[in-house]
Amino acid sequence: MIKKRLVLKFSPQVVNRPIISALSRKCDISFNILQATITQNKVGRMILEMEGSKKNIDAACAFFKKSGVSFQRLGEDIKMDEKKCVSCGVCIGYCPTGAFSFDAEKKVVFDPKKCIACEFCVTHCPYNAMTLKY
Amino acid sequence: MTKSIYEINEKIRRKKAVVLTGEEMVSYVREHGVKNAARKVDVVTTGTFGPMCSSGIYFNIAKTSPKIKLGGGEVTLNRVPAYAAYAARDVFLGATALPRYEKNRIRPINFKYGGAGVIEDLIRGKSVLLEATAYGTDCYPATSLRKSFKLSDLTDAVLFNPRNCYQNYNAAVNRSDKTIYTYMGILKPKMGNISYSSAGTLSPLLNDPELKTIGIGTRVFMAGAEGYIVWHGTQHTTAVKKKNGFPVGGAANIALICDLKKTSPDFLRAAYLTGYGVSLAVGVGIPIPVLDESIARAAGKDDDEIFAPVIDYSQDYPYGKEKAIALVSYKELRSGIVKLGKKEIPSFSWSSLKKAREIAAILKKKIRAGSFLLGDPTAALPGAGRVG
Repeated sequence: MIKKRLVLKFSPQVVNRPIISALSRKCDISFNILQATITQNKVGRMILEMEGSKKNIDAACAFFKKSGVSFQRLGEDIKMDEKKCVSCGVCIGYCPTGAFSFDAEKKVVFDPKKCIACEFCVTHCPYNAMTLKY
Repeated sequence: MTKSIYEINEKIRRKKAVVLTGEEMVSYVREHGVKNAARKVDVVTTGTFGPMCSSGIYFNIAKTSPKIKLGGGEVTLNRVPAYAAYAARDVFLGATALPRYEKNRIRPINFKYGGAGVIEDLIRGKSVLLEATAYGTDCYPATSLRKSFKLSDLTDAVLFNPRNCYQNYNAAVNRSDKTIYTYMGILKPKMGNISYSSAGTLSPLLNDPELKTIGIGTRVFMAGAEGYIVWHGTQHTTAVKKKNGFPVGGAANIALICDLKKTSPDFLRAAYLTGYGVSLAVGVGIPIPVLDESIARAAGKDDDEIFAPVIDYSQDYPYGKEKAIALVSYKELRSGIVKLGKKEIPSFSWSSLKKAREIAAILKKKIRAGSFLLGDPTAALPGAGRVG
């Protein structure tokens, strides 16, 4: 059994299709939708946590590809700009999943593995050190 | 036994001064005791880096032809309103100034620009657009001006803090049922988090709690430049509750000045606080001469000896009814969890300990190298104590 968190991007061409419903019927995995939004220009963005055998998760990824849904691992899209970060630690107080912490030198470090891409840090970092890149 | 600033400066000149950072002094006092520390250590360096709204810059624009008298007119810098009512060419810009478009956005406003942003743009060498209108006089006939300039184009530019380096400060919580957006950050309902803003043991004025060595004329590290204390800060007071000899809450503060052209974006940064506004983070470090045992003791205190009052920012603070819900030590605040009754509250800081350490270390290096002499105050701050 493995766990994988993905950020899925639904283009305007596929955003209306019941892709997640098809996923649940075709692939034997359990999944959890952590976040789902559709922007004004009809692009869908979903954060999906999947659990299952490696074979089935690979099949799910292949299914996304076939359906025209692009994806990347969660955490890869939230980046910290080390030059902008002043290591105040406000993000430590804001992050709901504890993705930020102080290291021994009191420098703030970001752990993408714990990130669920809620973007709270992107919006609220006082020094604009966090950015979303997809 | 007491020392004088003059004697310490002589040692600094000869590169013989014993200099420790505030944190090193804690260990030194613990190991060798207050008496030995007072005898052996000459200077303790401090540091702090956090948003301080009470910040601004002033400068003088180059002569134009025809001449313009900005005083009495209106001036913006990158559409951020500035104050020009001093004379013809003097412009003052406050860190919290906002362009009109920022204030009209959906609330809570996620601020993108303001006075502090202009200040940061200038020190990063970027071009800033000045737009002005004036009423025109016989000697200053121009009625409008539109001109881009860089920091290097100005003959003088000065960074000025009417108030900075609060000796100590509140820890903020929200007792209401809804999230609030404050200058102490986004505070979750029902005391869901607690924020604070102090460098704790490294905080400059907590290392000289009675202001025995710090006064008007004290030379400081300010945003990467050499600066000076020019007056007491605008909300300065020494009539506050104390615990272990240290004030609990705001208390003393200082007005600071330095050459903006010598500052560095490493220690001067615009800070954007969601739902509140724009502020300027200013790095400050003050060297504390260890003149007597009381100063050695104060500079050797640890985070568990200094306390912040926990204040409710939903009802109490907005209506001027600040009453400490509890006192918490900086040791507890720094641990990341504060216990109030049975509740465990996650804490977070606005003050960067990493930057504070960097500043204290830079100051230590400069003093040891003999390149930073202590300023001997020409006048004391109100309520200051005496050495010896």
